Amino acid sequence: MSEPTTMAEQRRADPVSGPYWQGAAKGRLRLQWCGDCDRPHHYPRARCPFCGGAGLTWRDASGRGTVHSYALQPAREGDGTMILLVDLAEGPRLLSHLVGDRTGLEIGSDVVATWGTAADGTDLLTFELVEPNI
Amino acid sequence: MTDDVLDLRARTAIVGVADAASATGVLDTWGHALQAEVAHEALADAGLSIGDVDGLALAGAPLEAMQVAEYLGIAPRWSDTSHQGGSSFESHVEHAAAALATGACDVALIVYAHTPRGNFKRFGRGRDNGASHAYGPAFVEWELPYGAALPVTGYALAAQRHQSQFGTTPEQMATVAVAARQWAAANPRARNQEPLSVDDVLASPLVSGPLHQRDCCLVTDGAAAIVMTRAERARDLRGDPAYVLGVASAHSHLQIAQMDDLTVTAGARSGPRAFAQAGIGPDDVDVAQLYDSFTITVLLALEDLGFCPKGEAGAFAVEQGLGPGQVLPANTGGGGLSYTHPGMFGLFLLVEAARQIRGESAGTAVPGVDISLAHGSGGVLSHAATVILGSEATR
Repeated sequence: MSEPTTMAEQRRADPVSGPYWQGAAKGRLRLQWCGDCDRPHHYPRARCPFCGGAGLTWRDASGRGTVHSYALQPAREGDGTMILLVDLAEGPRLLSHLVGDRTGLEIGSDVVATWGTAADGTDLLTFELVEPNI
Repeated sequence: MTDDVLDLRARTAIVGVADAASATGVLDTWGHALQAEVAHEALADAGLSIGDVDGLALAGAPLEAMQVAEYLGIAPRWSDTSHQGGSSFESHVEHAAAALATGACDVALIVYAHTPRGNFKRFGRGRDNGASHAYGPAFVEWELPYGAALPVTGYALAAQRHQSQFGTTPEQMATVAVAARQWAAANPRARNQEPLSVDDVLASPLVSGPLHQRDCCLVTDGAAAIVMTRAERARDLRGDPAYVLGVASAHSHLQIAQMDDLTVTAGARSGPRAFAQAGIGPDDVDVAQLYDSFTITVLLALEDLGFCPKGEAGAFAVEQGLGPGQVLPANTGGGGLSYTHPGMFGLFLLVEAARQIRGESAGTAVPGVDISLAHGSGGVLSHAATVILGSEATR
């Protein structure tokens, strides 16, 4: 087996977070769950951050969540970037982007996962409003 | 006169050990995962679990204590990241013994991992997979790809949340910057001294919504220093001593997505402990230096330190006031918003707090100061440290 060369390959080969990135390559959002306390967490870790448990497994997440907060990052041209904090339906919170229509965005808005590509070629989890324009 | 030095003899012990090594000289785990491995092994050796740990020491990169604590899922109330090369860990034991003996923490974890051979194999020359980034490999993997502007985006997310949750207005936030400018008007060394209005703040460009440029601290050159000594000796020196009546720190996360409640900072833990040590409350504070990296930072500090209830700092800033002649004189030299901010403002807070005890200031001395508070903030609302200084009359 050849050594990973691109950043995307390195991510997928990571002994801790690899399964996340392998899922991402197929457009699937995966979360680590603790076999001891039965709680999911994100970002992936070698041990559960809630109880220290080592029996961690991976499950597909629903891809659904709600907006915990947001911040508009203006750009010289265009509409800028909408940074999101998303509370996943399963519990964990993560930083992401809102893509697509921003109309109606507020704290508590329902969002759903969609995938893009980051500047370094790795898969980029983003979200879009479930019901824009309301 | 005897020195007031703690007797640490037989007060603390090493109760668990672990190490990791390989005959090939290469380990297949590295970084935080390797630190977690040996940490759990040592705790198991001691008959303890990760949940028992409330103190953490490591000779790491800047901010690494927060990375490791976040990774392990612990929220220490004591940490020591002093870095003195190969003998660092002996120093950690010394510091941990003092901290343990005085009750600063109950279980201190000292941890170290470094894998240069394996990293070279895995990532090649000059590639460390983010380990050298100040915010650590987890930040590089999970937040950096989104291009968030550090640290302002994290504060913007907290400000947005505070506005939505408590009805805090942009005008109320701007009042913090206006008060700082009023103090700066009397500081001939302040970067910005001209008058500033709420409308000026709101009309300044959006940096990271909802924060405007005038909600954000300066970027300037600067330097500061303080000298401390024991209380018995301090009285024999030239100036009036500013006694450390209470001091405490705490941290909770590093990446903003890992902050439990965006409206509650670690100051909610450091503040009450510092006040308890000092035997006073927020009402006793005559003048306060509250880290003003952003206007929201000051509002959160006012609440977390107990100057007002949670959610009411916006109204406090407008109705009670932080400016000259108002209820809580704060950032009396103009603060990071108008005086200076060379990247880190924490030492400037202490300089101004001590000056106020002496009846001096970079700007305007507040009359009759006996209690002077300095409250620092670090990371992305990640670390807080509260120092309460007192005059001779408060000893």
